[in-house]
Amino acid sequence: MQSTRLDLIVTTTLTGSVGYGYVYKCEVLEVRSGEFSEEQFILTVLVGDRKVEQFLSSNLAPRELVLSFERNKENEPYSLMPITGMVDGEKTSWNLVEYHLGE
Amino acid sequence: MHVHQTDHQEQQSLHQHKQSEVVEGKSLAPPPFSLQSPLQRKGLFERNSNELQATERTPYSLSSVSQPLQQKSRGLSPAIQMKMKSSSGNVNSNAPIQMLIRTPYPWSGAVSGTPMLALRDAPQGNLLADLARNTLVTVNSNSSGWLGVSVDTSQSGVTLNQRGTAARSGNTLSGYSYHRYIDDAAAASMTSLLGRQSAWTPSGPGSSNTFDTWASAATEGAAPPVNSVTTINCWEMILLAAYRIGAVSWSWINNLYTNPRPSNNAELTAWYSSLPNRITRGTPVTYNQSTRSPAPQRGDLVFFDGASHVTLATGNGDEVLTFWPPPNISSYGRGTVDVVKTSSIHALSNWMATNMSSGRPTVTIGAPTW
Repeated sequence: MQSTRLDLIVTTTLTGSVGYGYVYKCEVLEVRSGEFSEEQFILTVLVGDRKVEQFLSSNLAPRELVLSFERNKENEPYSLMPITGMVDGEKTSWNLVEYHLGE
Repeated sequence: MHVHQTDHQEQQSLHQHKQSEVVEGKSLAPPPFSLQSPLQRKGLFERNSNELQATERTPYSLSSVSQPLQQKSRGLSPAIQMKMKSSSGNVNSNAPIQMLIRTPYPWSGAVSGTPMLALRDAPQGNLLADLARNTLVTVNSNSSGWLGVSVDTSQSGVTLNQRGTAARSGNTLSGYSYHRYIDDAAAASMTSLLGRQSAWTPSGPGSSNTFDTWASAATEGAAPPVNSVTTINCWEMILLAAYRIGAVSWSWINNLYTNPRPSNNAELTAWYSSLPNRITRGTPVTYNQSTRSPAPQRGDLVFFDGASHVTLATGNGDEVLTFWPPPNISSYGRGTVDVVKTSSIHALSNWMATNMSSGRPTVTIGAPTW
């Protein structure tokens, strides 16, 4: 995955929370831009990111969301990292930078 | 050093616990200066025969000291006398077991499993002081099961004799106590919270939950009670337990939460990422979930994917003390009321692998800074 930005259309379900934030499971419906081959991923939201948390918790599946990510770091040590974003299958973390309802 | 008042529920638990300890602790052991047998003089009277090291054994069998034990028991309730009889030949069979003499030193310990513990000037030596249950000690060494400890004598649970008064330096007295009755302080405190409710919430600096509000205040206020109104997360429950028994100060927690005080996501990420290293000594080591090694020592901090979840090892295999709704509560959210409970690394890892990740979390273990 070489792109630095991802735009994904997803549906989300809240699976719980960990010490630093909330955990959502995201089903990928469409990759609008960037390269992303995974069908689902785990999205973490830091507890301080109240706007993101409010948006996501108010728009759970079956609502479709457009989530945009920017590449953060490679070789992350864990599959759950304390970021508002996600870690892909290649241990690269992505920060959530934009979010809105799908059309 | 803080020794905190317990609330009503704790008092009840303490009372019940003390009842069970009468046959196990010092109240049945002869006073240190009235010992008659060599075994008693060596301070081994209250020990379980299985625990005695070969070098500590004497020609006296436990049955030879059972008579004074039974004489002492006459003032006890029938239930307690029955318990004594059932444990004849294996005194202290129900006593709490200190499973490991933990390292590295120093570490914060607390008197546990006996109402009163002798502090001596050498292993099996002369008495310096009596230390009441929950008295905080700093454990500095181990000599054949006798822990070299130092104690702040200003604590209310410390009773010095003449020798101890002469031996202390300022408010510090050093000596030796048998390891069985010194528990890891934070683990002892967290164990006392088992079954107590609180409201789970993700947290950290700026979360404004109950713990963060207390930890980040300008001055020290009353510690959050452990009840269903208090909002708190996994590592905060451990920090609160350590604080309640005096293993860490509010200033230390305040510094953790405010220096630095994260003000944006990048700083929060850095804060959360550094948390395991800030509350352990050195870098936590990776736990092999297949071989279940290295076995965590009682009081070790156990991390799941870093700060995603933090628990405290009991020293019993991979068992941990945990405050987090999973694995037995799968549907939960902000404010879900749950209890402090025991679980296992295996069960928690399984739950996270199934519900929060594509694989098992990385588990790391570290000795706490306290």
